[in-house]
Amino acid sequence: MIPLATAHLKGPHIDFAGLSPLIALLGGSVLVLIVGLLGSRWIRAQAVPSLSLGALGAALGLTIWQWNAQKSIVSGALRIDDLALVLNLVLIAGAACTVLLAWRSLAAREAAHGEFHALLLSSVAGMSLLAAAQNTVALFVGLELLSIPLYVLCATELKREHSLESGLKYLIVGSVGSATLLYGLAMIYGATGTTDFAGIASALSNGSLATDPLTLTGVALCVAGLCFKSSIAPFHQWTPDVYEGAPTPVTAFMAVTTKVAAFGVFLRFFDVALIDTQVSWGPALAVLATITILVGNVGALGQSSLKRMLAYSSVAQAGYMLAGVVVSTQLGVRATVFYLAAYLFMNMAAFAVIVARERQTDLGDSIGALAGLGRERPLLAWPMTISMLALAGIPATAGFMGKFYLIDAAVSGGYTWLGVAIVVGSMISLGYYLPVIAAMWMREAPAATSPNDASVLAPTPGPLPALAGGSSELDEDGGPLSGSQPEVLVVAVLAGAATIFFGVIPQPLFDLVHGAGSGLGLF
Amino acid sequence: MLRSYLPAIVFLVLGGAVGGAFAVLNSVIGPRRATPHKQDPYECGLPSEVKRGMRFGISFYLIAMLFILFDIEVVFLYPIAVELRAYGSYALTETIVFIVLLFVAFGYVWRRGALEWR
Amino acid sequence: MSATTYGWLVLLFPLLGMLVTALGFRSLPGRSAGWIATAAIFLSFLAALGALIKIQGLAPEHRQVVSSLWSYASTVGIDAQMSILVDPLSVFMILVVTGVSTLIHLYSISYMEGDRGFARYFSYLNFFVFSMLLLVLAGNFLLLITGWAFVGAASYLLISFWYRRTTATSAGIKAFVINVVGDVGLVLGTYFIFKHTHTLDFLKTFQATSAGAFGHASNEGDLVAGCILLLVGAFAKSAQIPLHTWLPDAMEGPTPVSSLIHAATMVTAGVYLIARMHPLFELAPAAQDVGAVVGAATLLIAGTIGLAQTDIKRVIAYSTMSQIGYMIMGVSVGAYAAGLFHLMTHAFFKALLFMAAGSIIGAMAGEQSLNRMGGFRKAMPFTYGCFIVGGLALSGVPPFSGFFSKDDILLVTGERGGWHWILYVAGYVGAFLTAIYTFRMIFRAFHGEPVAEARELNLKSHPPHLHHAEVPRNPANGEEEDTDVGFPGPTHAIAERALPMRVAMGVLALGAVGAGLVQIPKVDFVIDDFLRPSFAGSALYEPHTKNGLLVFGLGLGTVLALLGIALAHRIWVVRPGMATSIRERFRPAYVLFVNKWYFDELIDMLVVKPAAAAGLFARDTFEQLFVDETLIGGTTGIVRAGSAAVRAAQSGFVRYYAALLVLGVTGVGFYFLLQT
Repeated sequence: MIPLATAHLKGPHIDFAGLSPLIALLGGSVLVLIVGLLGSRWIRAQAVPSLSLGALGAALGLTIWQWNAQKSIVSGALRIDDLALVLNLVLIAGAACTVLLAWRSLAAREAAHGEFHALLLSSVAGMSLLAAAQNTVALFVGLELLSIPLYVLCATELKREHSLESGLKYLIVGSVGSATLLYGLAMIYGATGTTDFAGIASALSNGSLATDPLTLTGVALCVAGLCFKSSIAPFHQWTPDVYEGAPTPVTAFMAVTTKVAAFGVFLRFFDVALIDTQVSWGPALAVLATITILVGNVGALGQSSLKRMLAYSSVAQAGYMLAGVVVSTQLGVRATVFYLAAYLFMNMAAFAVIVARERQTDLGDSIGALAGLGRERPLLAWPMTISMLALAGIPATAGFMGKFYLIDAAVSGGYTWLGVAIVVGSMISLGYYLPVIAAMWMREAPAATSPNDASVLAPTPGPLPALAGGSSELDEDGGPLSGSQPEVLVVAVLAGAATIFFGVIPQPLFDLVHGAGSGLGLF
Repeated sequence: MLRSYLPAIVFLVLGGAVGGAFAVLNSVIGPRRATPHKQDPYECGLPSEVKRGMRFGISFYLIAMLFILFDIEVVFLYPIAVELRAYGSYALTETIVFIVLLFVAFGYVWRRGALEWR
Repeated sequence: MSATTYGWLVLLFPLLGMLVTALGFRSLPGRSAGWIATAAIFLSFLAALGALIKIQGLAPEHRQVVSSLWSYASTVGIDAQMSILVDPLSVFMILVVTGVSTLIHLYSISYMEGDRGFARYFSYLNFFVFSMLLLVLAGNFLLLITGWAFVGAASYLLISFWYRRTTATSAGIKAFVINVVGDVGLVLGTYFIFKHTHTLDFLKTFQATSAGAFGHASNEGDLVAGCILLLVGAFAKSAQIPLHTWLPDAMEGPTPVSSLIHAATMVTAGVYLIARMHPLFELAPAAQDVGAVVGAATLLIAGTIGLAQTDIKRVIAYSTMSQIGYMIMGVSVGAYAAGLFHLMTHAFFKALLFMAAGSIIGAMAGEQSLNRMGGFRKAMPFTYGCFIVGGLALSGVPPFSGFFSKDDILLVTGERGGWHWILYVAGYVGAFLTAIYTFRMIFRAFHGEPVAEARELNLKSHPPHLHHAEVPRNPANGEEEDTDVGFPGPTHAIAERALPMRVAMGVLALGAVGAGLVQIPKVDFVIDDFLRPSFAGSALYEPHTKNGLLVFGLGLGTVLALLGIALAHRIWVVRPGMATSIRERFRPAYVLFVNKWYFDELIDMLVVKPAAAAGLFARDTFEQLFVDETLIGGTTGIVRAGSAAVRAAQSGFVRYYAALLVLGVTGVGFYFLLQT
């Protein structure tokens, strides 16, 4: 063994400014984990989520502080540009909504608060990493940092069988997806000899490497892996089961932020690194997008569980957004990012209402829980109505502007039929969005809505052993879950209002996503 | 280029076909006579002494897993300890951060009661 | 505050008024909804005055101010902005609209007092004013179309206000459908223009047009097509032939609505549109000619129909059509200031006439037929006075307002020369007819033997109980009225008894008398000078050269009006039997007029019947066999089968998911390997 010759090895230069949002998120994660161990129930139930919000706020502030930065950090592994920063904003907003929705939830309580929020924050960190990833290693690290906490989060309602099933299913199928992606990345590395996105792009632009079977197999496996993460058909099948089983705040989190991260990396990896194989993957993704739009919309018809319906709906929406990736133009990137932001508002409004209704009635997330909501609680009914209309793409909502933008991108990118598929999909989607509205405004409220008490959940006596995730500090009797829940209402109303606001005055959002499209070097 | 994978594919297909064929043939034409010996976990040797149904304490797995985790993480400290002088203050701070995080995890595990035998 | 800030305020107040009255319909006590709504419009009027002062403080060449609150979408080739254009033309319009609206709101407080839908009525009315102001303040086509459609919707809501009356609902539907035809014309016309100019903004459109977006020759194909489509919109909104049939039916709405929407404001939107788009129309003389001819035809045909109708509100409605015909003709031949001047004076005297008619209808407990009226002169002196003032202004007797404005239009038309002489003559024939039918109405309602209702009013017992039927019936078809849904039933809203009505009518009467004085030929040119900045680029704007023609026109107008009044007096007062004998002698003409030139039947035959036949075929044959069974059945079948398939694939077993995952990976992998 040769001893190191130089006495002093210089540490690498670290751009803390660029990393600061990530550091805030991960530091927050460690902090809430420790605070979750301390003191009284009050500290756990109130201080931990507050700290979690604080960490998100810090990350938000640091992201804004980094605005207009154009730099590569960690020796080119991460790229801090408008795309990453805008997606960071969306991610942080989504996570903040989740923290609010989970404030009084069973899931957070059963996971002793600290664990729940620590996992949440580290998952957000993974997404943030993924959105900025500029080489395949960072991509995979981000993906796993995103996924592993999510597997656990899905199973945080320990006493509910479906929650555990959801977590386990997600773990198994998700691992297959990750493995597929890893194979793909390995093959691309084997073909091009580099992990760097720019390096891969320049390697593919020379010679016949772009049509090499090894490369293309790698691309195929990457397509499959990423499609899995963003629930593109036929890799979507885990979505309905997992969404339905997971605790609702976690479902909301998954539905919104996972998509943001997955499409972030879709855009960066395919539109930068693999741009020279676009002739190969473009049509394939377009076909997948069409299948996804059809499968998602058709599958959502006739679902009585709202979460399941929204799961299929999210599959369909993923299909819409894929159109922006397929065309690989600046307009496409902008349209996708715009839709991601709109998607955040639309879905958060819907999920907030579902969370509220789950606590107010014992009907769970069934569509019957919404019956008569328009008369009883208009403040919940309006956000849900707006959200459904926006998801269906009715004008004067952000969803309409987003779809309009995507269709525009698809048509001007030469994929007119994909635009037609989006329109047809939206048409079918009315078939399951409108019944929700009808249930709220045109059906009578069920006669007796008893608050969701503990007896429904059939609790096991005594705390569970630590292995099962239970803890001795588990707040066994947290009191009834119903009652006022202003933070859920705030999320619902704000998200609904934002959906309308950006439907009527979309210009701020247009301006925000404008830079995101310019940074990738597309035309 | 594809051609070079051809032998591998042929091998895979053949292997699968032959193995599958034998398995199918066995189940179709093989005689099925159950004897007590055939039902044993091992068809040869002594009958098992241990009662079936005995279970390990579930805490065993937990503690074993945690041990392995911390074990592996501590192993990372060795190379740094050996070459710390060469790397200087940068490595020292990194190591301290690493150890602090390790202790956070340790404290968490301890406090959550994962180390108590139940 | 700048002129545009005032412009936004003008829009804001009616919107707030609408929201307050709409949301507070349960909690607002008594009649406060009416006062809130009136106050909102009055504030809007004050803001309009503010805008006027500010805009006059600017240099004439800077009097076109655009203000944009935000841009809706300026990314995908469209510059859709939330922008208003404040210039003399729009300020003129908002002044007329808010001013007249304030008075009519005030009138309505008394007129609708007994109505159950009081708050609903005022929130509709405020919504209408907001839409109308949006229409005239719009700084781009998008907002114009929005306001245009909103106005149609408000009109529909108000015509069908008494929604259990079958006549009211069918009239509302008719108005809405015809208005939508106009909306389609407007949108398509906008498209034709947008295709060349690539902007929705008015001023930019005009700049692009003058810079040659349509080429430099006049009558370029797309421009003419666009302008004619805009005209379709204008015709539908302004009840011009052949899209006029909804207006007489619209009289089913409450009388103040007829006064505000179907006389003073909404129906003049077409006039405003042509005036606003004058830079486009001047490059498309063919479209201008279409407008002028249709306007002239409408003023003649409507005038003749007015001679034969017996429903008092319908007579005024046909008169409205006829007067708007003058305006459309005026702005189409380049008499912009004159047309808009007439728009203003007409708003005053026609709103006044409707209000006075409302007062008589109140006294008659809802009865509108002239055949059953008579002798109200002594019983209702105030109403009579207002009717006379309005009638004289409408007939164009000097020095009432209508005299100056109508002759101004005809003067400019005559000055154009050439074939425009035909229009000039038509205009004077129309003026003669106007005088006859106006005074026919007055003489029949107010003179002669007092009917029972009039005698009852004369009794002076306090309070006199007015005669009315025990069961309120719809005078149009004898249907029993459902008084539960807002039809006021036999309430008697009479100007003589209600101060708000008297105030509103009095102010309008002053306007009807004096408004003409702002623009007397050779004396003052207030309207001309005020509007000039908006028409700066126009080649046709108010030349005024021929003094001889001016004097001749004024004289002819006076003589014709007086002759018409004298004739009406002779026929309906001096020799009561003469009307019948004239009717018998000119039987075919009478039948033609009383049947409204068979326009309803014509449209029925040409449009409704074929459409209905096609619809029947489509429903029975095409839809059942092809659409229902093949298309819908097939499509829903496919969707349902797909849904079942997707759900079947969703077995819940992870192993199947993994299998499908592998299959998917294999499929994608194969696809990519095929690319090598």
